[in-house]
Amino acid sequence: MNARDAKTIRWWAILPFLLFAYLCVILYLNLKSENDPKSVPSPFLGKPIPTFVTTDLLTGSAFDSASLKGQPYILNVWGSWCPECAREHPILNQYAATANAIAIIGLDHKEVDPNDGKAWLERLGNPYRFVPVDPDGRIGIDLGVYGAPESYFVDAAGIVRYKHIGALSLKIINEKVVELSRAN
Amino acid sequence: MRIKHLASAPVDSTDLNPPRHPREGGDPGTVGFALPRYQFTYQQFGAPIVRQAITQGTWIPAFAGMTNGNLQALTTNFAGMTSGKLRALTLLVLALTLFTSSSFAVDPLPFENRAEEVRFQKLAAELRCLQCQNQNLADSDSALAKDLRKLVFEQMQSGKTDADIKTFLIARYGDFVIYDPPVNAQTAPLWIAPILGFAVLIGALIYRARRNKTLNIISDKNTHKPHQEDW
Amino acid sequence: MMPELGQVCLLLALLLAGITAVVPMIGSYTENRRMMQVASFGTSGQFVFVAFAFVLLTYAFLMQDFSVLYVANHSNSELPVPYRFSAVWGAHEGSLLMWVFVQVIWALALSLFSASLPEKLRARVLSVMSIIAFGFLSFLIFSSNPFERMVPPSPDGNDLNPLLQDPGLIIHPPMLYMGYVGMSIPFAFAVAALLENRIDQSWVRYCRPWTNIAWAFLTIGIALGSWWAYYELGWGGWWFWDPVENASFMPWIVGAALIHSQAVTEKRGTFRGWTLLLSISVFSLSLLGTFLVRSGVITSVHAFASDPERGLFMLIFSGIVTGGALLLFALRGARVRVLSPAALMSRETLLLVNNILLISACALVLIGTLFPLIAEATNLGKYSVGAPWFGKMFALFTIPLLLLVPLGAFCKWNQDSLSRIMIQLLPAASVAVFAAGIAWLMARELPIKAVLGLLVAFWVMAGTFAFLWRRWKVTSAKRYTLEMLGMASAHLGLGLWLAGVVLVESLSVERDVRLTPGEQVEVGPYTVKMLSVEHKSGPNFEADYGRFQIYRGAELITELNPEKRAYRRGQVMTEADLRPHIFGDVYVALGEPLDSTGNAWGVRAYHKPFIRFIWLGAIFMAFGGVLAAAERRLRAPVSNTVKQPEPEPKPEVLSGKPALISANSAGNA
Repeated sequence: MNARDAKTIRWWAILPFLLFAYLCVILYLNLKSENDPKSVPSPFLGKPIPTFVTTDLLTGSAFDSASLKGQPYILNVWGSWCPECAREHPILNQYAATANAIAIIGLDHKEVDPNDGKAWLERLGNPYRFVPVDPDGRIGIDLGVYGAPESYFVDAAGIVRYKHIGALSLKIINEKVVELSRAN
Repeated sequence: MRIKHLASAPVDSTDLNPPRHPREGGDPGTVGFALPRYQFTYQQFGAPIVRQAITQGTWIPAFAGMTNGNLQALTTNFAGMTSGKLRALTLLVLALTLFTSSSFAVDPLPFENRAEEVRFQKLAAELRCLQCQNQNLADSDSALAKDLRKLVFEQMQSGKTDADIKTFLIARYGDFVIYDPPVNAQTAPLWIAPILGFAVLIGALIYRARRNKTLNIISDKNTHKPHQEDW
Repeated sequence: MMPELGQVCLLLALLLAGITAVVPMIGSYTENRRMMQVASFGTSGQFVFVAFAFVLLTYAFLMQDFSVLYVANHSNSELPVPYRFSAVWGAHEGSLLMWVFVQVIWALALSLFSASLPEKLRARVLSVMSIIAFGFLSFLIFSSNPFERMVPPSPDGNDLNPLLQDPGLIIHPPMLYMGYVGMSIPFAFAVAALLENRIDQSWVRYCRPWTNIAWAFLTIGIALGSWWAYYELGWGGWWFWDPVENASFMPWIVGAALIHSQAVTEKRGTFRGWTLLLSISVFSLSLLGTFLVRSGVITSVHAFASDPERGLFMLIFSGIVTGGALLLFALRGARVRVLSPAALMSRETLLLVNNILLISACALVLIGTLFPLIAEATNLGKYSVGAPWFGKMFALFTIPLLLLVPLGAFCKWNQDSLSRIMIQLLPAASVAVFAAGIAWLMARELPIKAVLGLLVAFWVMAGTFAFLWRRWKVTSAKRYTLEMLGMASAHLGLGLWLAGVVLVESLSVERDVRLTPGEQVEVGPYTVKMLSVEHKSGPNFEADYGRFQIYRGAELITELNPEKRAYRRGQVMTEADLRPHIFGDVYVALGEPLDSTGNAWGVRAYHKPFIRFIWLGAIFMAFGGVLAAAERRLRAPVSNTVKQPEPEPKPEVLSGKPALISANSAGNA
C-alpha cells in the first residue's frame, strides 16, 4: 500500500543538508572575515562625540572638548603603560608632520602618574595638539573606550565617522581623514 | 632566548593584537627587568604566550603599568627599610605582589546591606567585560571591569534601576555589553527560531499521527501481536 | 630520531587509513571477501601506529626533548612528572593526536567486538571509521604536526599553561574525546546502513551499546570539565554557557535524544529515518564543536590555540563528512517510511516528544552560540548571548521534558490511556508535592521558582522509583533488565542534577570582602576566619598561601588554603580551596593584597549548597548509560536474541530506488 511514497521526493529530507550548508557559509564568512572577532563597534558612529572637560597634561590648563567643534580631528586614546601605543606613536608623529594634517588630540588614559605621560611624550615626541588627561578612566567610559590605543575620527560637526581599535597605520589615517572632509 | 617559529606556535590567531590595557601585559621587546629569584624578561616567552594567558584571563601583571622608574623607586624604598635576609624576603613578597594577579576578581565594595550586594552580583553577572570578553563584569579582573564595577556600584547607590544602568552602558559600549540581547528586529531570529522549530516539529508529529490513524484501519488487522516484553 | 619515528608512524597510519577507507568499501560492493577482510587488518594497523606515535610524543615530554617544538612550547624542565603526561594533550597538536588515538581505539574495539555483524555492514562501518581517521590524520600531519623539530633546540622549554597543571585536567580531555569520538560509531553505522540501502533496525541493535557508552563518556567528560572550572577558576560557577562548553553540550543533548530514538527503532521498528538523522547529527555536532574550539571564530575562555587555516581545514573536512552524510540521508534515508500503528497516546509518541524537546533545546543552544557569528556575517550588529538568555530559554524546553520523564516509563507501547498512567503515578506525584513542601518549610527563603523546580526534580525521582516499585510488586515479571536499571539510574541522575541546579542557583552565597588576619566573614552557615597569608614554594611556582579557618557556629571544621601562584614562566594562577560536602561546599579564593602593607587581602568566599548533586547526577546518568549498554539482549548475535514472531522482511528495493517498508512490518520486532 501507499506505494506513491517510494516515488515521492520528500522535499523536507533535504532540509538538514540545507541548514548545514547555511551553517558552513556562516562559519566560512566568519573565518574569512578581516575583522578581529574581539573588536566591538562603537555605538557613537554617526553620532556626536560626547564632550568632556578636563585639564591638559602639558599645560595644566583647562580643556573643554566642545571647543574642538568646527574642525575635523582625530581623538587618540593612549597611555604610557601601553606598549602598543609606543609602537603606534611614530606613525602619529609622521602624520602630524605632513602638510595638511588635521589635529590629533591625545587623551592620556588611566595614567598612574602624570609625569610618566610627560616623560613618554618627551622621549617619543608629541604629535598632539592637546593632551587632555583621564586619570580615573571616566572619560574613557563615556567614550566607550575599552583599551588602548583607540582612535576616533571626528568631523567638523563633531560627529564620529570612524573608530579604530588598535594601532593606526598611515594608510588608514589618510583614508579616513579624506572621508572626514568628504563628510562635510 | 627567542623560540623559533613562535609565530606558528599553537596560540591564538589574535596574537597579532598585543595587550591594550594598563594591567594586561607587556611588550615583548621593551619591558624587562630582573628581581631576586625572578629573572623576568618578556623575551623569554614572547607575545603569544602572554596573549594566550590574557585570553584565558590569567595574565594581568600589575607591573606592566609601571615604568622601570617606578619600580626602582619602589624597590629602593623597601631596600632602605630592611636589611639582609629580611630584605630579600621583602623583595620576594614585593615581587609576588607585583606579579600577583588572578583569573578572577575580588573587589570588596562597601555595600549597605546583603540585598544590595546580591543585586549587584546579579547585575554584574549579566554584563560582559569588553576587555577580556570571555568573562562577565563580576568575574573579570581587567582594569576596565574594575572601573565599571565601581561605576555600577555608584549608580546603584544613587538610586538608578538595573535598567537605567544597562541603558547607560549600552549607550557607550553598544549591545555587546549585555549578555541578554535586546529584543529587536535584528535579534528576532534568536528568539523566534527555536520556538518556530519546536512548533514545526510538533506540527509534523500531529500530522503524522493523524495520517497514521486513517491508515491503521488497514494495518491493524494483520499486524498486532503484543510485544513480548512490554517495555 | 624518536620524533622522526613518530612522524613515520603517523604517515604509515595515514596510508593504512586510506587503504582501509577504500578497499573494504569496494569489497562490500563487489562482494569480495578478501577486500572486506582488509578492514580488520587495517584498523589494527592504524591503532598500532598511532599508539606508537602517541607513546613517542609522551616519551619526548617525559625525557624533555626540547628539540621538539611542541614539547618546548608546552613544557619546561621544572614541570612535575604527572603534568608531563597531561602536557601531551595540553595544546592543539597533541590534543589532535589524542583525538586520532581515541578514534583508532574506538575503531579497534569495534572491529574486535563486531564478529557477529554481517560481513558487508562491518566492512562498511570500519571503512567509514577509517575515512574519519584519514581526515584527522591528514589534518594532524599537514597542518598541526606535533613532531616538528625546533632548530636550535630550546635549552629549557616554555611552560604548560598553569590552568592545565591540575589533576582534573589530566582526565577531562581524554574522557571528553572518548565521548566526542565515540559518537563516530553511530555515525559510521548510519552511513553504512544508508550505503547498504538496508534501512531496517538491525544496525540499530548493534549500535545501541556503543552509543550509550560514548554518551556516558561524554557525560563524564562534561561533568569533569564543569567540576574543574568550579574549583580551579575561582569563579565558583559550574556552567558558564561559554561557546566551548556549549560545543560539548550540543552533542550530549542530541546523543540523549539518539539513545531514546534508537531504543524505539530497535524495539518497534519505527523512527528509522529519524534515528539515522540523529546518528549523523551527533557526530556532526562533535565536529562543529571541534571547529569552534580550534578555528578562532569565537572568543571563549577555553578556546584553543587557533588558526584560520586550521579552521578552514576543519570546515572543509566536516563539510565533506557531514555534508556527504546528510546528502546521502536526503537521497535515501528519508524515503524509508514506516507507518507506525501507534496511537497518539503511546510510548512511541512520548519518546518522539522527548526527541522533539531535546532537539529544540539543542537548536536553542546552537543558535545562541552561533547567533553572534550569524549577526557578524550578515552585518546585523555585534551581540553577546550569554547565561541570562540561555538560562531562561533553556528552561522553556527542559521543564516540559522533565515533566514527561516519568510518563515515558509508565506508558505502554502502541496505545495507552493518560488516565491509567496518571492513576499509577498518583503516589509519585503526591510524594513529590510533599517533598517540595518539606523543602519549602526547611528553607523559607527559597523563591517560588526554585520550589517549583524542586517539585519537578522530586517528580522525576519519585516517578522513577514508582516505576521500579511497580515493576517489582505489581507486574508478574519479578526482574529488571539492565536496560531498565540503566534508564532508572539515568533518570534518577537527571532528578538529582536538577535538584542541585535549583538549590545552588537560588541558595548560593557569595561574599567579596577585605580581610586582615584575625578578621572573619559569614557565608551561609559558615564563618571564614583569616589567619594569615604566607609564602610557599612549589616545584615550578611561588605562591601566596592563605590560611583560613572554617567554623560552623563555634565548631572549627577545617582549615582552607587557597593560593595565588606565580609560575616561574610568568603566568599567575588562582588556586581556590574548598571543603566539599554533600549538602554544600565552603569555598575560599584569595584575591589580591589591598594595601601596601600586604596585610589586608581581597577574599572571596562562597557557600554552595548542594552543588555536589550536579555532578552526582552526571555520575548517575553516565552509569545509566553503561548499564543499558550492558543489556545482554543487545550483545548476542541477532538470530537468537529477539523472539520475532516472523523474520524481519527485507526492505523492498525498487530497482535501485530507496526502500519502502510498509506498515505491515512495523509492529514486529
